[in-house]
Amino acid sequence: MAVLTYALRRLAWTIPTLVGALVVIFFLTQAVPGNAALARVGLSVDPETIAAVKASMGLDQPVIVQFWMYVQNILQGDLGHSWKTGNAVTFDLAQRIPATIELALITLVITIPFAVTLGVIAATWAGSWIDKAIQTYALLGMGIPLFWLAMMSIFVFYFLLGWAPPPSGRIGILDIAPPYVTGLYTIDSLLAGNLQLFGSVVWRLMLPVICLTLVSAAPLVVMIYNVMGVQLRSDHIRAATAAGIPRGQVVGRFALKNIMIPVLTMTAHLTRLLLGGAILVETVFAWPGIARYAVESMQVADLAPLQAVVLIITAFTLAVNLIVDIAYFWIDPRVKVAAA
Amino acid sequence: MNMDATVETIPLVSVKELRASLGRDPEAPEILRGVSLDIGPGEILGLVGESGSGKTMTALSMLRLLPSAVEVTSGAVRFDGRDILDLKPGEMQKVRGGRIAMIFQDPIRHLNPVFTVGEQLEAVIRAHAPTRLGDAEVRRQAIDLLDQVKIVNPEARLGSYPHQFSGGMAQRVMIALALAGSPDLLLADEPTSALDVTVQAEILLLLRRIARERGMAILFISHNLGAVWQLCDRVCVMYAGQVVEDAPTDIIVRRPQHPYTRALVMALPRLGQVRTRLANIPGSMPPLSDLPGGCTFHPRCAFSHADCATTEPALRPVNSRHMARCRYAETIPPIDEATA
Amino acid sequence: MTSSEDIGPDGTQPIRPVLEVRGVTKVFRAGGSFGKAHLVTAVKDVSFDIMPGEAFGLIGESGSGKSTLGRLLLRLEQPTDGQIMFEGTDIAQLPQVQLRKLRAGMQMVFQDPFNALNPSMTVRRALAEPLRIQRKLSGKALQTEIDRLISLVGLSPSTQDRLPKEFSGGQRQRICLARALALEPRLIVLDEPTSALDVSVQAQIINLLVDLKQELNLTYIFISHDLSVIGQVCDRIAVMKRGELVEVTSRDQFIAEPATDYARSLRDAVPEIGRPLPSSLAEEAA
Repeated sequence: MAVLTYALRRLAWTIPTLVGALVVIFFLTQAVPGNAALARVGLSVDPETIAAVKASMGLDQPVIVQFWMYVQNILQGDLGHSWKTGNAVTFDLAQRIPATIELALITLVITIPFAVTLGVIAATWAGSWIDKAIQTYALLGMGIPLFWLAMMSIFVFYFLLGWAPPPSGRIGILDIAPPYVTGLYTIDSLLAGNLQLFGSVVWRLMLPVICLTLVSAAPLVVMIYNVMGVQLRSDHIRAATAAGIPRGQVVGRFALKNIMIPVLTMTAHLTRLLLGGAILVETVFAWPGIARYAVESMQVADLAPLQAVVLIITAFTLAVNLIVDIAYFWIDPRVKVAAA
Repeated sequence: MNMDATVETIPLVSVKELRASLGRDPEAPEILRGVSLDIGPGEILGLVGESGSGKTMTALSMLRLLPSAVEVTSGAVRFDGRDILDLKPGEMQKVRGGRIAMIFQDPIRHLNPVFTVGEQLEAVIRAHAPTRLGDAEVRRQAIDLLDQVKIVNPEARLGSYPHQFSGGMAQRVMIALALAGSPDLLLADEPTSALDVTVQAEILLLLRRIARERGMAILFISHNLGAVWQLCDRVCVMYAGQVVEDAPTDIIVRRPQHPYTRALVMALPRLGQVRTRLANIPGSMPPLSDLPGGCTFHPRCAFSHADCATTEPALRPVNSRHMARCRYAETIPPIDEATA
Repeated sequence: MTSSEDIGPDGTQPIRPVLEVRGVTKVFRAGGSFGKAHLVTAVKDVSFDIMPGEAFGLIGESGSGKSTLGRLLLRLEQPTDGQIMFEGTDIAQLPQVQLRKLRAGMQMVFQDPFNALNPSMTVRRALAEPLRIQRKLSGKALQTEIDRLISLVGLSPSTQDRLPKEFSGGQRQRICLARALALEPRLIVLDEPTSALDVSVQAQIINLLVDLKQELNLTYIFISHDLSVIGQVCDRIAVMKRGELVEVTSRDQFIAEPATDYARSLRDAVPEIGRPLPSSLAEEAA
């Protein structure tokens, strides 16, 4: 099967990329100013203790050796220790990745259909008031800073109107997390049959997701509007209309599939951004995701979590790229021919 | 408009004084300036003219597929007792493909690149089926259509994508799509212009055969007088948005009564009749925004008189079944084959 | 086939062909990034001569290689194999430096007059450039020559400060012709020069080409898929099919009775007034 061979070939190319990423990550974090040992124990300590700490952290070895140790550890599943939280990084990540993934997934699932619908409607009724209204939204969505929108929405909907929950994270302070199955609280609470908790989780997701959607969808809407416009003026769509195919089918089936490639590209882009953790959203809403983890570690020069987060984000990115490439291959028959 | 005294056939389509402009502005240039022509049932009518003459626009107006920038300002397109320009969208969709179909120049661009030929055929078949059809029946009809246009191994071809076809085969597919709704009239806009000469001949033959077999009329738009002569029963010649001559094919190439037609025939290079010099039409077609007064052709006319610059000639009968837009049509000498 | 040792009118000097093409081949690599490239032979072992002052027509259907051959003859592409002797010098593998010196002798006119001209250059500049660079003209001599060239192709010198977009297709093609003539070439390759033009304009350009050939004693290689046009302009016709040269005959012979079946099928397929469609052809398409 052509798709499978293509997929395996692409997968094989991912490995050298990952290795390259490891090298860059490691050596970049080495360039972070500040003495990690000092940061751990503070300034008012005698040189011998500092030296001892350094040795224990392995910082007195040559850089290449340190890199090799780093790689070996990763292969054994050891991503290091966060001295700030005191936990193994893998432990911290296990708690935080689900938060980021949940936010990203739900945002994606809502944003893509939202953007496609708006873009297609605007293009199909180009020039009408609907078109103008959608374009106004798109302009605002691209112009308004995400963190401003987030803060304003908290201010208006929580502080002023009391409709939204306080920005305290994924669940209320007094709530207990559902039993761990996937790590996604929405699914886990449903699986546990705890509808009240489910409601609480969804309620807390609403503002972050809405803010993210409104801002992320805007450039997508513009892109889809443009590409769809080109399609609707294309020769083959004119021929399909001339053949008497109903308008709904012409737009919704025959034109739409032709824009799937650019839509896929932008979806991939958006996914990469969201999985990387929407730093601003996580900060404003106090969302316990990996982006916040990375920022907090950076502030105290806690290197291990930082390296780990960047590595995770790289892996996510490569995974997204791989899936998207295979999807291109599958969607557009001309790509199949070119690759054959 | 049919002046034959013996047989009065009601035309299938009757275009009456059609006028269209590039936009609503009264100052906008007119691209169709009172086009009138009839197509009889089962008749193969050639529509000849150079770029800018309005021949493609005339055809598009019959299907209400004019580009959005073009507005019909007056006139009618009578079909089946009604004016096509007055039809509601739902009724128009039934006409397209079902009563009047169209094939275009550059067939591969007019086929949807991300759908198989089978999928596109099926969509058109279903759109015109009087009742809901089962998958097997639709497939059978699709194969039958491909067979009618003489595509070898039609079953296998259903799964092919447009880019896998040669130009000639793609045109056959377009013809199959056009036939799916069993139309009474086929508008063929330069269907052979982008094809190799041997393929052109095959397509012309195919068109003639299906027209005869189905009693279907064809409006054959072309700048190639040779092809028009081979295929068409009658010819309309257009210049600057008007019909200037309307006559049976053999008469138009031997005894045209409009100076433009005459000049066009004499400017044609012919393999069977190589001359030392081709007859020239001085100048070029004037821009539609800046047309000369009186007869539009008079500045380039070898036979013009003084009043040609001031009085606009009407399209009038010069013979039974022969109309010309020239006040001195009867004085135009026939084409002498030896000295042409 | 013409012999390359034709004796001249005074019976003494043999006339050299302008172009001697021997075994020219062009192979393209249609590559895949994983080394699965496959080879496409666009032109295969083509040989012919072109005598000075003749109009040599090259016809073929799509994929015949005629356009590629046209580009090879002017060294716009490099042949994979074979020789191309232009006025005695083999230009097939000649390095760019020496090639540049010979370039003035051979020029090309392309199909699409809309794309062949720089849209931001006036006619005057478009003509001045080659005159300045190759013929080293300047000042009054330059201007006189520009005026002469413009008139030669049937345009008015008063239009020389206009941009290409202000001209019609036929006029632009005339400008391209003027530009090609600026370097006083001996050989002009015309690749579908009238295919994008209307019938009436085509007639004007064809007449112009024939006139110029007489006046300036030019040699043409005329590439086209339109056999009627080739028949009007050319003395000899070469038929190509899938990269190979199938037949070379005189124009009259081609019209009357071509030697090969393929050439005959091409001639018979030309839609012409006075030649009815055959009652049936091989209608099937594989």
